[in-house]
Amino acid sequence: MGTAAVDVPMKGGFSFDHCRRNEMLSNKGLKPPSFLKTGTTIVGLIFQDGVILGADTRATEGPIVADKNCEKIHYMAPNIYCCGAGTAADTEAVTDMVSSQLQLHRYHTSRESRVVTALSLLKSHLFSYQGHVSAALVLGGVDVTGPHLHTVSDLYIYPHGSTDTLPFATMGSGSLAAMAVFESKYHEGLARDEGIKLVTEAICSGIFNDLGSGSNVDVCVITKGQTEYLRNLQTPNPRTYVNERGYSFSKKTEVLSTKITPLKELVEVIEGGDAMEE
Amino acid sequence: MKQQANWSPYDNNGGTCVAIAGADYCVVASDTRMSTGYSILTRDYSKICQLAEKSVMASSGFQADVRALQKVLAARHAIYQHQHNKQMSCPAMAQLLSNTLYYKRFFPYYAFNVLGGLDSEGKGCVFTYDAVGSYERVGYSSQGSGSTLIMPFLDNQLKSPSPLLLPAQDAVTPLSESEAIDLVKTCFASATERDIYTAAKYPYFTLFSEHVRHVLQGDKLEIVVLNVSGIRREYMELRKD
Amino acid sequence: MNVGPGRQGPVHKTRPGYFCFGNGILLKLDLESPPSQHSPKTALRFAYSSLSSRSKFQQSPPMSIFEYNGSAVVAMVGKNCFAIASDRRLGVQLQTIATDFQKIYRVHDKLFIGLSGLATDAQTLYQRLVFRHKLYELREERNMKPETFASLVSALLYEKRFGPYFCQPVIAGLGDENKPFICTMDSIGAKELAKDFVVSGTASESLYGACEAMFKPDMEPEELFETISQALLSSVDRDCLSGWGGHVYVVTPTEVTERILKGRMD
Repeated sequence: MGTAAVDVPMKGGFSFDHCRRNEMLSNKGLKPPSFLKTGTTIVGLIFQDGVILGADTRATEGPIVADKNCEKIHYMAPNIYCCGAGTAADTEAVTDMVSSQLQLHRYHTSRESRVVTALSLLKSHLFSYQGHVSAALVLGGVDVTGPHLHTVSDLYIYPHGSTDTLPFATMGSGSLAAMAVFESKYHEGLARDEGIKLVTEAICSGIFNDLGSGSNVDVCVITKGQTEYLRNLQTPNPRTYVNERGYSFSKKTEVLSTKITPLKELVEVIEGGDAMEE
Repeated sequence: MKQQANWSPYDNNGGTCVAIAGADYCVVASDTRMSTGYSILTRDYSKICQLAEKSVMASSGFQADVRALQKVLAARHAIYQHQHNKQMSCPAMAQLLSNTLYYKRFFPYYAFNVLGGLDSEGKGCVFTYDAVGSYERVGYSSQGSGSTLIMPFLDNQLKSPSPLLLPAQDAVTPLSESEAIDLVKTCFASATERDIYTAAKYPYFTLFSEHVRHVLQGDKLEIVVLNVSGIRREYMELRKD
Repeated sequence: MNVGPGRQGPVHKTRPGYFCFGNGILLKLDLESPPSQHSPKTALRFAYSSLSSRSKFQQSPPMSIFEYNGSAVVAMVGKNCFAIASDRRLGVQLQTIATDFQKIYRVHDKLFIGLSGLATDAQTLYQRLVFRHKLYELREERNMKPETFASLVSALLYEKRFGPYFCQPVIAGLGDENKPFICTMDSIGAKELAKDFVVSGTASESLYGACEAMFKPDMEPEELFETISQALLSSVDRDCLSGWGGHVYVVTPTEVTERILKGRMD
């Protein structure tokens, strides 16, 4: 195959085709684009039977909210989840990539994935891109060796891809607001309800005090053998005003031309007497 | 290492202002959040200032400059009252504001203002400005961080005749006072959904009660309504995130 | 107020026929031509060309590559239907090159993609998408679901993470059981799924404001068309780099209605 299959990427990996052109454009004074960021408050803590992760749901592009209810707690394995902050595409791609590697690893070994495996895969990816893949992650899960909570970051500490192992962690632009809550109220051996309450409070602190974070609270509780993803556990920011009368448009839109294409109904064909196998 | 002077005399404290002029009223509204960067400084800061009996200014931008500007205008208005023994009219205040802004052409007040009020015939008027004093009398306007979000909707609902038509057409909106207030509320509810710098209560003001009730929770919309009977303020809660 | 690079912001009338800009420059417009041609947008571009000789003094911040051609794309969900709309301008910075430019492409009968941003990249990307979709059709003997297609676009964009295509796609389609699906992405493929509406392009801020105020859930096709058209036209009128009419597709399970809108030609 090689050169013949020009356009179909069989292997993964990045393509650097446009780098020269794009650099030329930016040298000509054209500003390169800004990417979608998750301003974000993400947190995690270890409680008596496992790990709780939490995240807000706002994605921003500069001062504009691009997505009011995005998902920042990513699936890694049935017993491992990961919160992502930073460039949205990077957090999404890196967690997807590692989660598929973990899946393959489970097929290979027939054993539950370990949190440290995910951690190593994440950090080696981020380290190899020397900070150009910008993701700050809070990784949590429960495996055969017990509950674990880690942060993976390439945003603040120099050798990008540094990791930490902590009883409670926060990341993103709202990390200080959330950490203030954790520092004052966290203690060892929290009960499940207390843990969820504390995580929610930390996320809310980020939502209300950091402009980069907002909307709703997502929580994920991981215990031995069970994972509960509580999407939109709290929605503290509903729309404040809707005019019941609605709005009418004084002037109708002027249409220059209209083309209507009727669509054919899809007909299901069953061959012979019995349906064909898939 | 080379030292760099990267200090800036300006900051942007965000915020959005809207004003709508009607046949016999004027609505001026703004949110009450003051922020810098990704932090909220306060959720209860009124950006609306009454400059004269029948003129009210709402300003976003750098609030230190806004305060300084308000002080200058208050002083100039006091002098005017001493000299002429009357309140300044809204169009006169508009010209004064323009001159005051242009006076600092090369070190401008970082303030984006809308001035609303009633003119000498009791008709609603709105004046919109840039930071260095260029201004225009319009039927409605929006300034500040959420203005790009609000302006298209106002255009759609209130589309005013071209300012170039001869003879000049009246720019005031056909809406009733309560419809205009509803429209303002919708504008802010929409803008706060998408603009991180707009939120907090919006108060609105009506000139007839002496007392202005300050609602002390944060993140509201403040709406000031001027009409024949005076000035009235109303508040509506906005998103707080 | 910026005169050159600033796209938004009012231009103020001082005396009939004169416009005053923030820097105190008065411009006289040609009053011989009919008044409707003296819109703020005309004046703004007029001002730009007369000032460009002074560009040494008017240092402008670098223009974003997304603003090179100008565009506005929006998609909305209705009741068992969706609408996707774009403006029709192709420009090179402030100069308009074409006023009938296609920004919405059909992938199959119930799946459309709008590409805002740099037009050359949009067309290249579209060709690659068509190619990949055809391969899929050959292998699977069916059309792609919108969700699948969104993942494909996302993968193609993220592949070029360090040298991106300068375009921001909007994807809209009818999926299984004719459930509407809309989504947008940034230029490196960060998917953003929404239940109500998605926007992209140089007029995106205006579109966010307009859609946020006008959108209602569960609209029927006719009302959806009116809403998306009004949102599009009022938004592009506040953006100098997009406009010149609109192109709207409304797709229901039984038919595709394509309309061309009349808009301000300035």
